[in-house]
Amino acid sequence: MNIRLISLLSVLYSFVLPVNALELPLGSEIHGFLSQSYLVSPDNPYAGTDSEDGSFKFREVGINGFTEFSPELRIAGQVLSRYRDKSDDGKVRIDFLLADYLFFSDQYSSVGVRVGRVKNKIGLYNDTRDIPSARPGFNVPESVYFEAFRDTLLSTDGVNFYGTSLVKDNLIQWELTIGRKDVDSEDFEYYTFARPVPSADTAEVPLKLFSASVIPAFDRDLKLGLSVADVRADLEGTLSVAEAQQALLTAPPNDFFVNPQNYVTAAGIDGLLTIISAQYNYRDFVLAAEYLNLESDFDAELVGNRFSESSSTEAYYLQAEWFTTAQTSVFTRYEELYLKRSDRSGADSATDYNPYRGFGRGWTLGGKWSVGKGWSISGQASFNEGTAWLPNFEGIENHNIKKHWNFYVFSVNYQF
Amino acid sequence: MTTRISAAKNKPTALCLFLTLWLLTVAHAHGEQKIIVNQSVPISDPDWIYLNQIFAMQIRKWPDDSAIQVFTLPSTSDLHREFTVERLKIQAHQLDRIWNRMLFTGTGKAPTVVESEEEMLEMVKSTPGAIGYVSGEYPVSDVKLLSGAQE
Repeated sequence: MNIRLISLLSVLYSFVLPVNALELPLGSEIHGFLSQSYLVSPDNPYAGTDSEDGSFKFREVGINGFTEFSPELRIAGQVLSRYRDKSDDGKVRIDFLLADYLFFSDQYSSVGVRVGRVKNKIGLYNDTRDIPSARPGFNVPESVYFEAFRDTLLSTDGVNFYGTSLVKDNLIQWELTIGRKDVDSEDFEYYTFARPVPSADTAEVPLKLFSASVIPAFDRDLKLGLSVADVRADLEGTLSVAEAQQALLTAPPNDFFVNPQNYVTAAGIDGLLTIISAQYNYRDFVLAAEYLNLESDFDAELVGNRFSESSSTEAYYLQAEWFTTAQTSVFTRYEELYLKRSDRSGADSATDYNPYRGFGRGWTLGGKWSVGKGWSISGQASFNEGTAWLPNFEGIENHNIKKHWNFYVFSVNYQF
Repeated sequence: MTTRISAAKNKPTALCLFLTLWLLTVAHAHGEQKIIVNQSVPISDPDWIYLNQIFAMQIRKWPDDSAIQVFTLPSTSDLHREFTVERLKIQAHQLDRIWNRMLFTGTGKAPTVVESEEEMLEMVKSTPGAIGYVSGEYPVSDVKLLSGAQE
């Protein structure tokens, strides 16, 4: 645990005693959360090998605050540390930091703008994927919100226009975001080459996003949504052509074909991501279904030689949550993900250490008990076939990944 | 067997008992909740969609541009849960999700939670722009009672 996380935890701890959120002058508040999990993944290494025998190396901490200067003008920010053994190091980062100005608002409509680092509202869960109290289990549905694009899509530095309109009692909400961000490129490297690319460390990501949802007048328990994101990720810090040629000269004869990632001199992905969402509330039940389609054009240079490949990624899930009492809930979910839609067996995406990375199918069962005063405990079990959403970490290429794998998580959460 | 015969004989009694119990269950334990606002608030007859949007923290200001201050009882309280279903037509757990999303994405805030009806009345009385609720039988004074708040 690094020093910064310890200080973040101690700040959080100092807020634990007064259980309600701190209210400060000038319409300001501070809130936070802490989630500590114990994860057992007996079949495949989940974010590292420790999880095979059970590991506590799964922790999320966040603190946020806002100040309202007037009903129209507010600023808000959140720092977050997400520790997932070898997949995420727990470094404290700025999750969002924004100024929000409401141009217009009345009983029927509103329009405003946010400037700064804003969370991207994509589908039902993208903007709250790191918030334990706002997602159904330990993870958001991993098929539609798969890890490879997590950092790329999570937030952006730019401008976000938002609005609501009540049109003949149909409630329409929309957002439009334009921005860019530098992200850690490890997920990108494993997604494209299944191994780390030498000397690359970040990817520059310009993003344009439109999302809209409607709660129709004929059934206010129904919510339908559409999100479309146009995103590009360019790998930075790759080898120069001269460096790659030098590496090739000293390499074993076949290495260029066995380890092409060692000779990458440029790489990027153009993606057009669409998510269609439906959520239906019936009494104590919440049913949700989402479908993802990602059209991607991958282009790269190996020792200066260009090549490109297009693919369609497809995923969906069906989920039912049942709020059994005011304090308890249970959920179940079935989901599928195919990195290449036309290749259901994942043969095209297979690698030597993992023939099953091109697809994923799985069931998840879970439950949550709100103990009170902001505390809750939760547990879930996931049963999977194919590893398209098994988290990558540096070194995963040294393990033989299994096709059928389960994992079990138990978490204690606190929020104020 | 004996029990079954006697139950059949007492059919009308059993039916009455069942009906009474059923009525007791469906009758609002707290009567029709009163929606109360601070006397500064410039509305009197909102429809339920407007109220739903206010309690979902989707509308930040009243028609006169003053800030809306929303007060609620804890999400686990029976009165809160009845209020959300009957007056806002939304389940309490859905509202919780909406508030958590806004709070932890920087796009809004959650209502101020009070621990009792007494505190609710006190806060609504003393906070300009405030809106809250109490149970039907709870005596209120020095606040504005929203009349309609029906479909």
